[in-house]
Amino acid sequence: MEPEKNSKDVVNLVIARLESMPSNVSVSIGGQTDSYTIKELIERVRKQDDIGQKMTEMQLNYIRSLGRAPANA
Amino acid sequence: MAVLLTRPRHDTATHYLYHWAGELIRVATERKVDLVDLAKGKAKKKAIQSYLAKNVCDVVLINGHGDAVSVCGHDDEVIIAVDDGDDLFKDKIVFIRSCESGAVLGQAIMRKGAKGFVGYVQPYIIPFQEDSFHDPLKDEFAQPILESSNQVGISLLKGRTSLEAHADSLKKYDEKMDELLTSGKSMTFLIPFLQWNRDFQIAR
Repeated sequence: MEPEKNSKDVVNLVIARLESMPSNVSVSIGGQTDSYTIKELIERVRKQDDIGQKMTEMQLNYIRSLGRAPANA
Repeated sequence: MAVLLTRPRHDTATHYLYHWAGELIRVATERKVDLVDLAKGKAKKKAIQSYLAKNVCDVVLINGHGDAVSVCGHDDEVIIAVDDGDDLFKDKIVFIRSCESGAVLGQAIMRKGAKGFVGYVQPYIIPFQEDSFHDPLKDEFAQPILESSNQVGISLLKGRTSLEAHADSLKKYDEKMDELLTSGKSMTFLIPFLQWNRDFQIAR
């Protein structure tokens, strides 16, 4: 099944969130041997390749969680 | 209790897992738990499957890269996969700290008689501080994530079940997120990483 395509607004939102991170962050994601700098991740999100889509999914998972009531509320 | 630990080290992610899994050795030593440490080049398929076949451990803690159907050891050699060693966990509790280990492999391991399983149904994502490579235990970006998942291993070493160890770990994730929100250290950008690894950690 093809992953759901993210809108341009969502892509821009995720890029803005990545740009706000410290420049010395790098990230290991997926079963990949490489780790990615923030600059590389932004490029991947812009291209919406598999890594970029996963990073987008991660940020959306967090944003959506803000609307969920905590379990102990 | 006897424990088998694998911790390859050949790239940034496994370098961090290697050092953080080392904390589990410290806990095992404190608790006088018998632990076999298959580290770096010893984390190879032949050695791991041979130990498992001898039935010498009750708990297995695996660290490394992986995907939905397999997990790797040193130099990304596949050490366990669906229909290749997944039957060696009978009556054992297994924690596989690798990407998507719970999606298919974990289910196969449970179907073939494991007592419990903890893993992930999505990629396990770790942020690093680029200047902390020489001392991963002091990396402030990686620490909340790796400490939260380490809790699974720590709880298992204390004799907790897979479901209890998972619950202890989720609690640790929540504590870490609360700490980031209140620390005033401007590290709230780490919360989506914690939330992701927390939400997609599963236990059977």
